[in-house]
Amino acid sequence: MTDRLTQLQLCLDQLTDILFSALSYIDQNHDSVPLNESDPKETDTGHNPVTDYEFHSSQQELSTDIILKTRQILTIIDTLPGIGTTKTQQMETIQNLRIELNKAEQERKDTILEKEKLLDFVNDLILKVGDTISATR
Amino acid sequence: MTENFEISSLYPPPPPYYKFFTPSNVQKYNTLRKDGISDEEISQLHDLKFLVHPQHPEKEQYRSFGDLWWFEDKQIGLKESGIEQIYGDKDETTDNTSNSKKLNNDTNDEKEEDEMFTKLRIDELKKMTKSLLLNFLELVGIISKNPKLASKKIDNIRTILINIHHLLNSYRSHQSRETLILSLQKKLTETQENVLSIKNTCAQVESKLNLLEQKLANLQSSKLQKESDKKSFESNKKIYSVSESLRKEAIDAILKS
Repeated sequence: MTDRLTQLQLCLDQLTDILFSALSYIDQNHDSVPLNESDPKETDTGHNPVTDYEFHSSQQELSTDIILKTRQILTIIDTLPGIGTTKTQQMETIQNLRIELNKAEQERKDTILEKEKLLDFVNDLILKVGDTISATR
Repeated sequence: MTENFEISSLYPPPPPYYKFFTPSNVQKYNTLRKDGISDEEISQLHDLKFLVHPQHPEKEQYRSFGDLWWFEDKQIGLKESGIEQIYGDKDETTDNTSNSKKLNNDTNDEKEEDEMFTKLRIDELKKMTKSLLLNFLELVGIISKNPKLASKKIDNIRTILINIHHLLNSYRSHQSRETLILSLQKKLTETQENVLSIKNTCAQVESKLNLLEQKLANLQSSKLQKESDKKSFESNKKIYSVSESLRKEAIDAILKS
């Protein structure tokens, strides 16, 4: 998983792409409209515009995409971590965490050592019990 | 088909002075340097002229592949790249009277400000995102009515996008520190959980052992064993923390009964 900031940058790039593709779509698929009502409608055999209904639903879809993407960006902006903390504060936190982590690591080592001792004892006990059982039979 | 495939451009040949870097020349140069002869004097000698290290460049930028680059790896400000900064960096609600004072402090504060990400900047980011949307809407409108006027709007959108990206880039180092803090915290909790689970298991085993010990003690007291056998079975004491010889003695005693 990428971090929030990368996500945000990706989303922004996507939004730009969507904006561009929306423009391209409209540019390539729109039907000709006469400027004056008396003018004849231009037709071009090389250009086959989609139907009005299709064009409008595509427009709807594109605009929905844009809005959704923008909302996503705004949401990510809201969840950016560490707002309002200064660099020194961050460095302090990192330092404290480092010390704490070292302590925890030491504790872990001690605990593992203790566990090993216990394990040795239990192993010993089992062996002895086994020996005696076999001896008494 | 002929083998004679035309190559429009080869890699350029190495600079001719590479021939001067012979082992004997390099050795000569090194001994001369050791003898305390300055670079300028060495550069007078014909053979060794090219072995002298070139001077460090004095400028802040260099040119490569037709672009200007900075020697120092830093984030280039909007001003330096010739883009108008459209987001407000300072809290504008504060007194205007202290403006002149503020301006003087600006240069000093800038470094710290860049490292910090304030609520203000978040708001600016949101504003710019919405403004981007509005500008796009206007652009679509303008293109449909008079495409000639579109270039200005496109410029506006460009400025907004560059500003947003700039702001995000300046947040990067802050973000990386934040990520480091998060991963440190994660590691810390993992270690603590690890310790806790080991301790739990140990405690379970210990309680089982204590149970055994108590049963044995009951057994022994009913059989009226010798006092000495019981010396290592004091309750509330971890058996395994007793020294090994004592332990063995205890186990032997247990098994004998």
